[in-house]
Amino acid sequence: MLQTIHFGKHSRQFRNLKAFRKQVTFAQEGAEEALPDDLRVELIDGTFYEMLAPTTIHQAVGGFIHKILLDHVLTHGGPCMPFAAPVDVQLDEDDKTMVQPDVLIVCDRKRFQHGRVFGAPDFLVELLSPSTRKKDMQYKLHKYGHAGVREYWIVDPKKKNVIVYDLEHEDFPVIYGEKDTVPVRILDGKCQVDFSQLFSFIGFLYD
Amino acid sequence: MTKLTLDQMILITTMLGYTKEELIYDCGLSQETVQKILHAPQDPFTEEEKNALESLVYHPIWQGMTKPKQENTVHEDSTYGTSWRKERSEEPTTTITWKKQGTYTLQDYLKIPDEHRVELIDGVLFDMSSPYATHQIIGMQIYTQISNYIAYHKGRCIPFAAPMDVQPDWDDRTIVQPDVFVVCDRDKVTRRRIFGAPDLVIEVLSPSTRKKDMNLKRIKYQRAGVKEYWMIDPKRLKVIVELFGEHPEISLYSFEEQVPVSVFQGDCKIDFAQIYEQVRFLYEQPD
Repeated sequence: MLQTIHFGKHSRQFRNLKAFRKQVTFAQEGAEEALPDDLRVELIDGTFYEMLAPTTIHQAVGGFIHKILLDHVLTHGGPCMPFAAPVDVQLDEDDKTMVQPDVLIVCDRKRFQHGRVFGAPDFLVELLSPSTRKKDMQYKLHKYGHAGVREYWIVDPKKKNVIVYDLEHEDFPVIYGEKDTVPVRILDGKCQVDFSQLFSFIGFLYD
Repeated sequence: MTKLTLDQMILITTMLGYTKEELIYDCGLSQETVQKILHAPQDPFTEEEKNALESLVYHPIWQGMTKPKQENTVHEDSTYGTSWRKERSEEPTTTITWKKQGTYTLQDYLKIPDEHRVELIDGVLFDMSSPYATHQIIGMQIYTQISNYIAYHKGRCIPFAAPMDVQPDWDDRTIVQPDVFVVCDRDKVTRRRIFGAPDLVIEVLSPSTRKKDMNLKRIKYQRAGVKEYWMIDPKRLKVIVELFGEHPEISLYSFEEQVPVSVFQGDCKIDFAQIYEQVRFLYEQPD
């Protein structure tokens, strides 16, 4: 019962399409089901974050990275499985956090449960947009590092750069520019995403 | 400083009554380590596990007690300063009570003798080992450049260098000592410590603090409202500059560049080429 009251209380904020941050107690599992389907949200430590519909650039970048990863897995085999959003990830194996990363790879097949990913994926990519910037660069970086994600990329389509956190080896954030080819470290660097190809391909979207 | 033996550490861990969940989730030990501590202490422990265990049972008293006791008698002979010195050296051994990591407060922190540098983050005590020469020179050079800038422009901001206590969360569970920091709101500066978040914090990474500076303290500073956070990596000769706030930014610089301080609208630039010149001889020394 609680979850409907909580949602009811905040429903107005959910519908006026503003970036917002509201503290909602995730009282019972299933509260997320109480939200309308046309509203995409993420839940981080009991706080709901609304996800606005992505832009074409956002989708083109995400799709491109996913395609490179999928091609690599299809040719080389192996247990790793790439996905593109939306896929629910129950990051901490609890009911307080449910995220939808833009692109992810899960190598441990035991993590697939009830149509979601249960636990930390091995590799994650988040594409920055003005409304998710703070969440992706701060809260999520911390959450992902803590949960045991091995590698995290933050792609900024506006500045055309990529920040790579090799969380597994506690390596420095490395920043790549728009002309760089970025290796996926968890795939032994054999799989590489060519950002100059990507940005020349979608360059017209910026005009 | 006397090292605890493995047996002592295991004994203390069990004595303090940590539960399995606390060990795993709060203290960040691995399942395997916890299993070993609680059920099979006779198994060999790796160096990493020993270090993790040590941070768990770390207690200032233990170190305080190994200090030679005659400190009292030495000072009794001198004519002045006797009384307070005596008081200070006795205090810690009599009043700090042994607690679980995560439950220490400001009161415990203040009782720790000055010669032991520690930080308190969310009730957990961290030992701060003495920094390397490179670390100190870099920190001091940055401090000097910033304070010169402020003095030249007659600014209201105050630069600080460690050791200076900062209470970023306004509570008694966290007290940190950033390497270099700048506070622009003078109301935050009290006689004994800084109350609230500094505007700019600079940490020079070292092998022992790297992980803490890049994760725990980073998120602490961000949540407390620090505007700009620099992590300086002397090993890889890099500077990571993070701007927190509503529109976060992250940039990387090498030790050949001039790094702008955003708190001063980029007007103040720290010359890392000059700083590197100062420490270059240390890099050329054999290990």
